[in-house]
Amino acid sequence: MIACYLDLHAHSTDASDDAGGTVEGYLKWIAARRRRGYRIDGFVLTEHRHYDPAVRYDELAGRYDVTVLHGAELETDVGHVLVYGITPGLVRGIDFADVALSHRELLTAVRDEGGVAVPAHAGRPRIGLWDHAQAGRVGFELVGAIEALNGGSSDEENGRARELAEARQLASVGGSDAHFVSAIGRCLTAFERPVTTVAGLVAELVAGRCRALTAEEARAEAGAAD
Amino acid sequence: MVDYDESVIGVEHRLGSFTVTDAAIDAYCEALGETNPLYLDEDFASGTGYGGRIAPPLIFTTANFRGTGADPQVDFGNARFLGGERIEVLEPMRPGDTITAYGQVTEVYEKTGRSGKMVFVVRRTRYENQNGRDVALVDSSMVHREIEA
Amino acid sequence: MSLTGTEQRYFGDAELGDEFEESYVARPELVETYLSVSRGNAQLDDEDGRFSDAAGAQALGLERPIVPGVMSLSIITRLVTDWAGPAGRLRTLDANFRRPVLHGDRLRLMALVTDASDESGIGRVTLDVYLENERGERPLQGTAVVELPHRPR
Repeated sequence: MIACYLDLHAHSTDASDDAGGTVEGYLKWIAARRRRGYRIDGFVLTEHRHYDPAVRYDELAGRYDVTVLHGAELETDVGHVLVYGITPGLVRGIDFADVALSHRELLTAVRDEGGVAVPAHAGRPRIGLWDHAQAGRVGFELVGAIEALNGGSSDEENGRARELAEARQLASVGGSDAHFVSAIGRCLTAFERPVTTVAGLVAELVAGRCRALTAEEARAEAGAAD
Repeated sequence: MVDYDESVIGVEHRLGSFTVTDAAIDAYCEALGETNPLYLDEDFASGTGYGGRIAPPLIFTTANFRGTGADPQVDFGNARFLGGERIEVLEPMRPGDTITAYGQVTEVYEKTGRSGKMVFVVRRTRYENQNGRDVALVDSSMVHREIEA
Repeated sequence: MSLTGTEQRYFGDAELGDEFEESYVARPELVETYLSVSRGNAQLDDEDGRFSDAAGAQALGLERPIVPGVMSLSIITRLVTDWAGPAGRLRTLDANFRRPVLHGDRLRLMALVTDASDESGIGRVTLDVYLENERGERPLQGTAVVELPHRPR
């Protein structure tokens, strides 16, 4: 049973300088996709090396009936990591701007603060987990789930990420890695229970009640369920 | 911060000029698989608002004068690549037009990204026709970085 | 359906979410033709052979010679202007290069309407534009703004 579909990886012009998509642009696009039969319930903004708790999109998101949550994409010695459930303690203890964070330090801090860490685009060379896993450099006991379907990765890279998740028996998530409007929702994560808050997102990811799928797959699945 | 020659910032230089010819338009369209008669068929084009054949808007990219003009002498990296471009198209170019390019380095900045340190050199090129009218403005970012051998 | 540039697109035709695409194979001889226009203007810098020479490209760590970034911009522009029609006008193109386009790559040229607004009688349409290769990678992504005429009454 599927309760909701969220895109867990998106960047916007508000804080990612390589992005061309605005949050409102994403919301308008989701509304347009819904009119064409797609099912996208929300997305998580994961700006590069940045998290500002003061920035809220609740009112704007409410107008479009879309859930917008906040995380961050941080850079570690084993590639990029999506972090959900960011607390003031984590912000104090970790330098988000550092491009070579120790993944063990970051992932331990995230776990201790009650969040969850998900290696992003895990099949990509250098900035994904794959190479580092092959070299035996990864503390998998700290990894919450794997981004096994990433909108910016090649089919081969996503295949490697999926293989890694399966081999390690980790939950798979999907994220578009959207930098431009029309990419939002291209890759999604299906949840068995409704997710409308960061706490709810963390709980479902930790429990592993999620899986990665494409927008087309979600559309077919949601259509069949109706 | 990386070492470079700051004196070149904001100083515009004439980079060179080129003439838009029928042959250049034909070859450019052939390279792109472009069959639009606005660029290739005088009879069709004369019936449009342009009153005659025009060049595809980005034909000036074939004459991008890279390597000419002021050099900020960035002391970093063993590789460089075009990171991105922002192009503003202002006026159509027609066969026979002579286009002169003027360039300046507008910014040099450093950023640490997914592949380590990168230095961005941003150039603005202004393309002007023989009537003194700007036909296009281009901001391009050249990225300098170290790659492993 | 192939876009030829002869059909006029009107502002009222463009709806948020509309998609259109074409295909292009980056055959070496087409890159050579592009470079020949440039050579006529004696400017495009191919000193290290990255755009034309297998050995030169390999020395730079590239699998095959690459398509010049400015040629990729021209390729995606073809899609946009052919879609817009003779009275449509490309105003801006803003694109980032994420990976190289290699000789022989089979590309999908894609555009999606992400916004449409009427500004003082001028219909302005914003598009997301992409080049996607057969490996599922998107070497170029960006946005374009096009002005389209209103349909005559």
